[in-house]
This record gives sequence, structure tokens and C-alpha cells, in this order.
Amino acid sequence: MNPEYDYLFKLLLIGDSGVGKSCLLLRFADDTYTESYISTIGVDFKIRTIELEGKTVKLQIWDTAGQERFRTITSSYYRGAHGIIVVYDVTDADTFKNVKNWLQEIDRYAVEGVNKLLVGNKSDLVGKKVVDYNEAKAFADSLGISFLETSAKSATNVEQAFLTMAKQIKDRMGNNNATQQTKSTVNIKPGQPVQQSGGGCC
Amino acid sequence: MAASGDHDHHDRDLDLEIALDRQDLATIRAIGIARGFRTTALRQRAWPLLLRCANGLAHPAVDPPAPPSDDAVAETRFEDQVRKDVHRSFVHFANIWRDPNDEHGGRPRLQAQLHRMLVTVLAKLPFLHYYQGFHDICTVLLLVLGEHMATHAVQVLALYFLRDAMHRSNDPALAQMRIILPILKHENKAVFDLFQDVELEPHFCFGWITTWFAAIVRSFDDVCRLFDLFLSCNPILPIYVAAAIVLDQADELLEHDREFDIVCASLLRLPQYESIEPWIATAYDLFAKYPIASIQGSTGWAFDENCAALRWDSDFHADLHRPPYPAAHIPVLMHLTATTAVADHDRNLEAALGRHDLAAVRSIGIARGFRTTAYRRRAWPLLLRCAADLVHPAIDLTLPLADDFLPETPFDEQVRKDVRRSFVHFADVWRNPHDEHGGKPKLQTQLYHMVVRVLARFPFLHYYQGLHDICTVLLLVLGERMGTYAAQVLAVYYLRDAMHETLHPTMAQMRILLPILKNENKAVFELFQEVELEPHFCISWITTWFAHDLRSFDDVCRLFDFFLSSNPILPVYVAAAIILDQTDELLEQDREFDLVYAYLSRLPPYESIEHWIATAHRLFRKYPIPGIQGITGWAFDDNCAALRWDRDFPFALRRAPFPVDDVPTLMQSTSTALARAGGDTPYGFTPRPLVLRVVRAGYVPVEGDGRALLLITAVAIGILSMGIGMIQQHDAVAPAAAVAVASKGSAEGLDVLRRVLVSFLRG
Repeated sequence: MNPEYDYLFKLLLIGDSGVGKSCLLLRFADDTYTESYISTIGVDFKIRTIELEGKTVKLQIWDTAGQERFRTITSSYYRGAHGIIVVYDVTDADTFKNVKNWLQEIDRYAVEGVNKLLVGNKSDLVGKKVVDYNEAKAFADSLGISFLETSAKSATNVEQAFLTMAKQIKDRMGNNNATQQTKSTVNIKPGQPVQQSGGGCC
Repeated sequence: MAASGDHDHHDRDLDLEIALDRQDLATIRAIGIARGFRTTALRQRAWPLLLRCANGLAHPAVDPPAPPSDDAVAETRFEDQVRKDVHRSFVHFANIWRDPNDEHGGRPRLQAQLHRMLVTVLAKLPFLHYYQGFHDICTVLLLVLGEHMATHAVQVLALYFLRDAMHRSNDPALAQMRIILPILKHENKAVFDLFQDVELEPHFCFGWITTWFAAIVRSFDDVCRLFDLFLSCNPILPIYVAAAIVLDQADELLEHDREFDIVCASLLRLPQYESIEPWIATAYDLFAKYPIASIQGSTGWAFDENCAALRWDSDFHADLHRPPYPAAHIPVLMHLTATTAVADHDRNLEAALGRHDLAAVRSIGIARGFRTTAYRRRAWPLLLRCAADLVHPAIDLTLPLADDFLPETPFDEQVRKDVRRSFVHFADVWRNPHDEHGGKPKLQTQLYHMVVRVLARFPFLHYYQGLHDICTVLLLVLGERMGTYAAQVLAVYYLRDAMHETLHPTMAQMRILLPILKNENKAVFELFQEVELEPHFCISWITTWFAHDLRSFDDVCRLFDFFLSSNPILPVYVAAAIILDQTDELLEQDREFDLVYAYLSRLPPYESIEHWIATAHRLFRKYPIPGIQGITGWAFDDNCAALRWDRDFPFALRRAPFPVDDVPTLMQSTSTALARAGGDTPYGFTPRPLVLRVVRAGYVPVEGDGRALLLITAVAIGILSMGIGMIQQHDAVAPAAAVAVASKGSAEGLDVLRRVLVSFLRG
């Protein structure tokens, strides 16, 4: 097997319904935007390959339904994720308030040490903005996670958000590299540097 | 031997040579029927003549096609399907086409030719719909005539011979196939009775007839011999050949168990044969004995006089000086055929609606659908028992629908978010050109009202994202008022399994996909197991009845016709049909969770939704839910909507539906049962013991049943012999009584045992 990438990272987009998770993904993966986007039901994913510090990184980004009842399904996707992006809507205070709940979900279902990123979407709607940047930034800092405000519509910071996430994961993988490599020689576990000699499948 | 044989043939072919030279179509046809043309060289002369596309004929049937060229590939809407089928062609008959001088054996070149042929013909005759199997016929013509002549021949063939199979729907072709039934009835009543017993429609030979047997007969010589016959005869002849084949194996058929699967499986395989000639002779005799014009009447079917079969003699006269029916007028004939079928269908539906005959309306909803919005506005409320004159006291629809009364529910915020993202698709249906916003805001308000009113009326139901998609369809077809009533009934009696506090019951039900896949296609099931794939990818198909995923509003409505007429579990069976429909491509994927997930979560391109519906219906009969429920080992208990639907929503309108007020109790018991079962067992299922499964209705076999059965039989024999031993020690009256009781009491038990044994031996 000779995959055309050096790393495969799995990212997960979570957050309340209607905050723009699917639109962020559409902007990042296909560089398009549409005002009329339908609700996501269940889970879906898209792929984009990026260059990062001279390495080819394949990002596999899972998009989830926001409604609480779908957590039965979505929770099973936390475990395989290397990075989780929690999205809220800067024009909707409730969605920011619920970020805490989403972080608890991560603690409950994701692997320890998973990279996290907080994203406040719809930053182009300046007039309707109710969640203050500094408040969100302070909140993220207190938890030690990165924070960005984005707009899927104007493309502001979207690229940045995913690249930040990818870089953090890569750095973490780099640190753990030695231990990880000994763990697996057959399968290419997601997020691990690809071993050309390994007989894995992909 | 070979030399003298050739010589012999040569003598006998003299009459053919003469007929070919004279362009004597009647004689050529007679030879084609009686003994065929034997060699490729003779076929290359006879076939073009029979199809009136040979050079220099008085009246060519159609214009010669533009010479094929690589750079000018025409476009057709069937491009995708054609490409897939061509990709899988040239698998058989390798002795004919393999080119030892070509590294790839010539396959890519032939596939390119076949592709070009198909695309050229379909682009030139855009009113014809491509069907899978058409390419098999084209393959034979390509191999015998070469690309240029074959392209020409295929056009004639499509127009004058095959067009009944090239309508938008398969209905005309299926209607014609039913003439097998009266033929069987007259020729062998026992076989006909068997067909009736097991409710077998002659669909099993669809592949034989629409490919002229090219897809099923493995000898190229025999295929060509059949083509000699078919090209010389009325295009209905393949059906008579199918009848001849069925009659040929009547004895074996009647020995089998009288079960749909077994009879169908046995018929699907072409029987062993020594020579193809007896079938041909029988077919032609049958055709003479039961001419279509008269047999048509006994099927009671609209296989109308404009179809290719009934017009062929006049359209394609044996006298080459008489022109064939103009190709340009054929679309008109096809339109007439299609509308006749529609008129018949509508008449039946009209009658059923007028009688309030729920059973008949349901069977039309399953088999064909209701076709137009006008009919759906009458049929859907009837099926849901919410038409004004039908509302039974058990279903309480009283709720003010005035605009100023809008109740509050805990789900308002979520509903609002979803409604804001609705009316994205199906714009051709709802867009109003007179409205600046295309009517969208008004529709969104109506949709919001609908959903909220359903939730307010039944506070025990929980909203799920996707309910709004179903309500959208109801709104667009029925309007706000009737749509709201319909949505209320739908939510309580069809969708409530998805409206618990959690999604667990829905996910539990979806897992019946696994045993269905396991029994239908083990390789696919193993793929699911290997990549640890739970059937989450199709949750939106199932909970929105495909309204979220399909882009054609017509197809969504057709599915709704089907779902409203059937048990609420049917969407899961449609999902199974879709997965099974793409097994070949699926198994070619890399065996990784993500890739399989991505592949499956997109609906595959399809030509007609009918195929999925028919497959789903068949699977549902084959794997009934009480039976399959035991296999998943899942607490999707007896009170869920799916298992209660037949009782809750009886056929007879005078019988009361289950009272709405008692539904919360049912739902409570489902949640309790689910909690007791302790959630799901991931990536697999544990079938209940064989004994527990066979006592339920609808036994579905799983692996390991055979062993259990052997064990049970062994124990039973042991007990029986012990019993006999004990009886022998007593007086003579006791054994007689014991035998009488045993025989009477165990008749049912034996029947169950027999069915299990049959399934085991078959599997």
C-alpha cells in the first residue's frame, strides 16, 4: 500500500442545530456557500487534502446532526476523532451557552487528549452579534483550547480554523510518535504517520 | 465427419441462398423459424435483410445512422447506466470475441464499440428509454454484424421489436408477460394452479425476455439460433419460448414445495437442455395455437393495440416493397400505449376510491402508486383515515387550526431552525413565480404550523429532525389543513417509533437490515461486520421516508404511496433493496469504514424507483418482521408501531383503529422493553433460539439452525422411542389413543418442523 498522504486526521464538527456546521464544512471542502442548506440528519463526511509543513495531510471531517436526540448516533463517532471542533453561532447566545454541554460530551466519549477547537460562526452578521469575542476568548483560554470566529459565508477564518486544528494534531502526533509507532505495525491507525513498510489497508 | 456435415448443410442451405439473393423475406423468415441460419456468414446476410437495414432495399425502415466516430459521441440521459452496463459486458461468449493477438483479448475495444452503439441509438431515438438488458441484445448484434451494421440494426430492433420494453416504466413489458398465465392454464392446469398458489407473477422471466435470452443462455450458437427465430417472428415470441421452457420442466416444478421462493428459484435457473430446438418448436406451436390477439383478452390487460407485438405484422410487412410504418410516428404509438395503461390503472383506482376499498387502494399504492396529485389528495387521506367523512372516533383530530391559535411545545426552537432550512429542494413544485420570494416564506409558516400542531396535539411524541421533511411532502400534496390531519395520524400510527425521547427504538429497528443482508448477500453482510458498520448511514432515508435525500418530488410521492399503503417498517426494506442493488460496486470498494460509509450514504443513481419498491416488497414478504425480530435479538417489542400496524389500522374502515389515547401506554412499554434489553449489541446480532423463533409467525432462517434442528430431531426420536417402548408394555387401547392425540395435536408442530427442514436444506 502506498497512500498518497502522510497523515490522515479525523475531525468532528459538533454544536447546536443551525450554527452552520455543514456550511463551514462546505466552505472548507468545496469552497462554496449557499444560503439554503438543509438540516443534517445523522452524520456525513467530506474529505480535503492539505499541505502542512511539507507533509500531505488528509483531513476527513465528519459533520453531525445538532439535535440532541441524534447524540445516540453521533457519540459513537467521537472515539475515532483526533480533533473536535465545537461550533456555536455568534448571533445566538443559547448556542454559546450549550458549548459547555458539548465539551462534556467530548469528555465522556472522546479519547483522552483529543484536540479541541472552539469556533464562533456567522461573524459576518455584525449587527446581530450577541456573543462577545472577548467573552468567548476568555472562556476558551480558561479551558486551554484555541478559539476563532469564522464566517462560512465570507470565508473568513474558515481555512484558518481547520489548519489550526490540523497543526495541533500533527504536533501532538509528533510528540507521541515514538510510542505510537511501536503500537501498531499492521494497520495504519488514523492519524498516525503512514509507514511505507506496513502491510496495512487503506 | 466435419467435411461431410458442412456439405450436407451446404445443400440444405441452398434454399436460403436463393431466398437471400431474391430478397424473399417470407421464405427467409420461414427458414429462420424452422431451422435458423446456422453460420455467421449467412446471418450477416439474413439479419440485415430481416431488419430491412441491408443496403439497397426498396424501403429502408430507418435512416442509416451517422458513421460512428470517436470524437462525436452523442449524449443521452442514460449515459451513466449505459457506462455501468458496458463495463460489465463481454464476460461470456469469450470463445467468440477473445482476440489472442490483443493483450486484453479485445475486450476494451469491443466495450468501446458497444458503448458507442448504445449511445448513438439512444441519442438518435430519445423517446426510447434504455433498460438494463438492451445492451445484451446489442452485444450479440455487434458480435455477428460488426459495429456499423449492428448500430443500424439495433435502431430497427428498438423501434419495431423492443419498444414495448422501452417505455418509461416497465409496465407495458410486464403486462405482456402475463400472457404466460393463460397459456399455462390451457396447457398445464397444475402448473398454473401452482403459480396461483404461491402468487407468482411471471416476473421471473423478465431477464430472459428483455434480453432475448442473451443474458442467460451460455452457448453463443444457441443465442444466435434464438435470434434467428425472434428476428423472423412477431416480437412477442420470446414470451412463448419462456412458456415452452416452463412447460418443459412442469414435472420437476410440481415436485417442489409450493412456496414462492422455491418455485421462483427453480424457475429462475434455465433448465439443462440438450438442444434448443424443441423449445423453439414448442414456442412456435404455442404461438400458432394461442395467437396474441385472442390470448390478450384473457389476461384482462391493457396491452393495447398500438404495442409493437400487435402491430408488427402490419408495421413490418414481409413484402419488402411495402414500406414499414414510419419511424417518425412511433413516439405517437408509444404514447398511446402508455396512456391506455394509465387509463386502465386510473379506472381501477377510481373504483377503489369510490368504494372506500382500503384493501384495493393499498394494493394499487404498493404496485403502481397513485400517479397524480389529484389522486393522491383522495388516496392519502383515505389511507390515513383522516378524510372528513372517515374520521373514526378513535382518531381524534380536533384541534383548532385558526392562525391565531398556535400552541407552544418544547420543540419550537428546533422546529423553527429546521423550517428555516426547508424548501430548498423540489422548487419546481412549490415555487410561485407571482410571488417575489417564490412563495417560500408562506410555505415555511404553514410548515411550522403543521409540525407544531402535531407536536402539541400529542405531547407524548418527541420531535425529530426529519419529521419536517415528511410534513413538507404532505403540505405540498395535501395543503396545510389536510396535511396537518394527515401528519397527526402518520405521527401516531406510522412514525411514533422514531418519536420516543431517544433514537434507540429507530436504531433498533434499522438493525433488521443486518439479517436481511446476511440472508440475501453474505459478502455484503461480512463487509459490514468487518468494517464494523452499523446502518446509521441510512437513518435519514428511513426517518424522512427518503424525502430528505431524493431530488425528484415525483419519486418521493411514489414512495409515499407505497409507504402509506404498507407497514411502517417498509422504509427499512427499501434501504435494504438499495444496498443490495449496488453490491457489486460496494464490494469493489476498499474495505474501510469511512469509504464504505461514504459510498453507502449517497443514494445511487437509478433509472426507476419501481425496482427498489418491488424488491422491498419482496424482501418484506420473504423476511416478515415478527420472524426477523427474533434474529436481531432486539427489544423492538410487540407494541411498536411496526408490529402493531395491521391491528391498529385494519383493512375494513368500519373497524376502529387503535385509540390514540392508549398510544402513550404502548410507547412506554416499548421504552421499558428497550431499557431491559440493555441497549444495543454493536456490530452483530444474537438470534434467539430456534424454538423461540419458529413459534412466531414468519420463520426466517439463520446459520446454525440446521444443527439445532438435528439436535431437536435426535431428542424427539429418543423420547418417541422411549414412549413406544413404554406403550408396548401396556394394553392395546392406550397406544391407539396416544397416537390419535399425538397426531391431532402435533399437526401444526410437524408443519413448522417441515418448513424449518425445508429452509435448512435449501440454505
